[in-house]
Formats: sequence, structure tokens, C-alpha cells
Amino acid sequence: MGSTDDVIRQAVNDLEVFDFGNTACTRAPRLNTARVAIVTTAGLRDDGIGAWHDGQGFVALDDAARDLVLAHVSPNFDRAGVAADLNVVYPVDRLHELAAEGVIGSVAARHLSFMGAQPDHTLTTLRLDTGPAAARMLLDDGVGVVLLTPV
Amino acid sequence: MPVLVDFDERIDDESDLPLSCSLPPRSDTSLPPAVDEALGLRAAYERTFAATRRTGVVRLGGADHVADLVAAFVRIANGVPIDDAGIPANMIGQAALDVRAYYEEAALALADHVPAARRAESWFYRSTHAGTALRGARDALREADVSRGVWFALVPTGQ
Repeated sequence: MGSTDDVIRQAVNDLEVFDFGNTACTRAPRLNTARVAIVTTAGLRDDGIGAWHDGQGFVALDDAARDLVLAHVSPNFDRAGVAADLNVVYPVDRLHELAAEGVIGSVAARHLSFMGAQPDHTLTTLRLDTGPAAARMLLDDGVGVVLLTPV
Repeated sequence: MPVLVDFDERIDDESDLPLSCSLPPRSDTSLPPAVDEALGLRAAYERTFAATRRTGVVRLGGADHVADLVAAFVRIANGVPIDDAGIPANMIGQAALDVRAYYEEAALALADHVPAARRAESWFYRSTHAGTALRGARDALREADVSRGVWFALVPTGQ
């Protein structure tokens, strides 16, 4: 058997994926003035609950929170790295370093976590409800750029 | 349209190779080896927790209950019906993630470096009694035609 990555790649390579049609494209603000938020699908929670009960919804994470729990349901990714350093899936400390260096303008007050193992591959709820709600929340927080960490 | 796209760059490292972590010697021979092993790793687990102040053992009572969860998986692997094993069927996957998190966090303390991807996972499933118990439990549940949703989280793809 090849590496785990090879095995998983073979298993998912022919999965039918949802066709989103035309992809919206927008010009990003200058990075050194932008407020940046993390949007992760690692299934992180700040309430200590180790299970994801939010379906295609999301959890808003206070920027200062570090005692986060990985509630992702899939066993098929390396979890030890996250145990060693939360920044592996949630690079919040790295963002603050970039802000201190002037590379980015500022770090958002809130970041968002979805959960990446969704059985409904049409992602209808996310496309029509929770996704727009998440975007609205980030826009209200003055976020201009998101750093997506897919898990 | 392909789901994945191949790029020429490739990172070759020691991913997937089991860590070489010393397991504790047997302490209580009246216990199943997997349970005794889990208890023996508590100190290593606590060292990682002290260093990170975070843990993934959060689903079924914390580190104090890991030995009980391992005992239940040993029973399932030995053919005890799931309803009599000591873990509700709808919590089997959560229990497996707790046990795995406990062992992987202990491995971080036993190794002198942060391991490459899946090395701690491989050590757990290939080198420990508890990992063997989870494999056995998965196989027993599958052979008993238990719903895949119950057992799929016990052993990750590739192990």
C-alpha cells in the first residue's frame, strides 16, 4: 500500500463534486491595510464540546481564544500535528506576527470554523444560508481578506 | 473535472512511518495489556497537556476514562456484543477519537521532536495494544454487520 495520502487520493479522485458554475471574483484590498480573518473547516469549538452538532453551520471564535477543541468527525487526517500546535490548522498566532510586522493591516476580532466532512456534497445549506451569514458577519467586522484552512 | 490536481513538487519525509516511542513496561498483569498500557502512558499524556494546555480528549469524560474506553474496545474486539461492551453504539466513534487523542498526545511527550504527518497515528495503530484493540473492534463490528456509521471512525484510512 502506498502512503496514506496516496490511498485517500485514490479513494476521492473520482468523487462527483458540485458545480458552482461561474466563480465570483473580486479584487482584494492591499494586504498591508487589510483586516484578515481565518476561516477553517477544522471543526474547532471554544465550548469544550468534542462533537460537531452544527452540520453545515459554523462557530465564531474569539480572536483571543486558544483553548479550542478539534471537533472534526473524520479520522482520516493527522491530528497529532494539531495537538502539538493549534496553528497547524488555525494560524492565528502567525497572523498576529504578520500584523506586528506590517505585512497585514490587522487581525479580525472573530474567526470562523466550519467542519469539513460534510455528507451532503451539494452543500446546499452552506451555499444558501450559513455561508452568506458567515460572510455577512465577517464584513460587519471589517474583514477584507480571509485565510482559508481546509481540513 | 478532476477533484485533485497533481503538481510536480513533492515533499518526501517520514510520513506514515510509526514513531519509535517506548511503551511503559507492564505494571498490573491482572489487567488486559491494552488497559495497563493506557494507564502507563498517563504521565506522558500529562506532560504534553502541561506544555500545551490543550487536549483532544474531550468527548467522553477526559483522560480519567480512557482506560475504561480501552477496556470496552478490548471486549468488542473479543466478540462481546456492542450493547454489552460498555460504550453506547452511537458513541463508539467518539470514544475511539478520545483514545487516539490520548495516545497521540502521549507520543508527543515520548518523542523528542514533533513527528511528521501520521507517524504518531501509525505508532498508535501498529505498535500499541490499544491500537490493536481498536483494529479488532472495527473488524468485529464490521463482521457483525453493524452500520458503518458506528465503526468508521475507529481506524483511519491507510491504517
